[in-house]
Amino acid sequence: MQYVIIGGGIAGTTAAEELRKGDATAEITMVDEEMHVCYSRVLLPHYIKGKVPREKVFMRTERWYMEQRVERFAGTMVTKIDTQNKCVVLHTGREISYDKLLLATGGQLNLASTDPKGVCYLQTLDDADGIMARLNEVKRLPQEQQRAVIIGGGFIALEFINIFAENNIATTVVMRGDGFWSRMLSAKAKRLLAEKAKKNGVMLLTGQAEAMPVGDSEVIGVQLNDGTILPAVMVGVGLGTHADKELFSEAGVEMKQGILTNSFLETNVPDVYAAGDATEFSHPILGRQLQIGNWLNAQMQGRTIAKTMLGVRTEYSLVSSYATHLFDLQIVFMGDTSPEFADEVQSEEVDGVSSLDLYLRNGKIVGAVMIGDLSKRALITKAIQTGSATL
Amino acid sequence: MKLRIVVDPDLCIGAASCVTIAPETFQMNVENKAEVLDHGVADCGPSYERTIEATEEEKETIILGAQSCPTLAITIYDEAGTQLYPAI
Repeated sequence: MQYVIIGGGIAGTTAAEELRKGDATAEITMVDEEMHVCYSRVLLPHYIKGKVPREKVFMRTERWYMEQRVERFAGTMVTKIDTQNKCVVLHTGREISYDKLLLATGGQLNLASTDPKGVCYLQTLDDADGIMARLNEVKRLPQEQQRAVIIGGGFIALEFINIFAENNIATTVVMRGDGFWSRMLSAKAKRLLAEKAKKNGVMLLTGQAEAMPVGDSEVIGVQLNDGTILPAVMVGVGLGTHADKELFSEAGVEMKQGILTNSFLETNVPDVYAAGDATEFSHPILGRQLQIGNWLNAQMQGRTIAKTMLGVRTEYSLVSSYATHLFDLQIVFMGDTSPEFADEVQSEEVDGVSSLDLYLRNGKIVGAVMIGDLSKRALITKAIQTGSATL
Repeated sequence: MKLRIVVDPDLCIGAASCVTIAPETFQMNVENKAEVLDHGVADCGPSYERTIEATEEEKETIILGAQSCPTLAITIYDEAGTQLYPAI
């Protein structure tokens, strides 16, 4: 049996590990755009803040791939998937045949319209190294010049806020919407986060859909909707990701926002499967097709799809959650937190320091966002898993 | 067999993936950090470290829980003090 996995992140790597456990003689090939072996993207903020050394970021060693007999093509792109002849074509021109193919490519970054030096993203280890190098340069400037702007209002924006705060860099966040996670959170939750940011000296500018970094070779600031330029020597961009539609669509794989699969993570093309952030899968408990971009989801999808690829067809039904923080304020997302797919969003605020948004569909709780007080976490997890209408 | 399970609260980001995978062994505290339980019980109060008796099946679940941690905040040792996870 020849298994080919496109993507070497936690979904692809976990799948490779499980495939080897279940099939000692299979050929397992991994095509990975990254030069580095599998590492934890979640650890990158810890690494940037100096909490963990660089070597601790890696989840596997070169030796592991050898021991597991996973042939890994590092720094390699797939340019074509031929589902008729069952092979993938690499950018080097080489063709690799497969019996079963796993698409675990993750998301492709949405880039700012310009990115002169000093504009930073936070997706890869190389990005993290770049951020650290830039921070070192910025720290040598006079304090009044140490200014950063963040474009975006989601997970990555929060990471940049925490990183810049650690480095005592004056920060303004420029958002397209009317607050953090503008299309997802209730007004109460957004207000809570905005207050926390402002209390810690972070400026917020909302409704800035046209914001873009400016500068020739080096960034000098961010241009706002009205043409004003906010001075900055460092710009953190967190505008989300998208799936590589062209590659998959050309191969005949059905796409919407992500790669469409059923609840077994099988695509419409026989012997082609998907796992991880790029997968738009049918969730048997949440009751709709959706994309979930978090570590546990990617890892457990990798584990589940390996079983199916090994011939034991297995449904994926995990309700995963994710946590982050804004300064000392904890934030947890669970299940399906898209208001456009909810019949009702119940929102409550407690003492002005905590909020809870509950997302309901067909009379069932399908998702939640908790800010501050997380004491109902276990209760909500159970309610989502059992399809309960109340806590 | 006995297992020593240790959580590093400085690395824990409260993702709670360990709780999702191994709820009998891990639970989140008020600071949103994972604490270690002994079969669902916190004998002698909450703790980031505990030595527990586990069956082979339980050991597998506990290691899966540790493996699910995106920040490698959980370390598992066997009776002899050998580190079972993360691999060294």
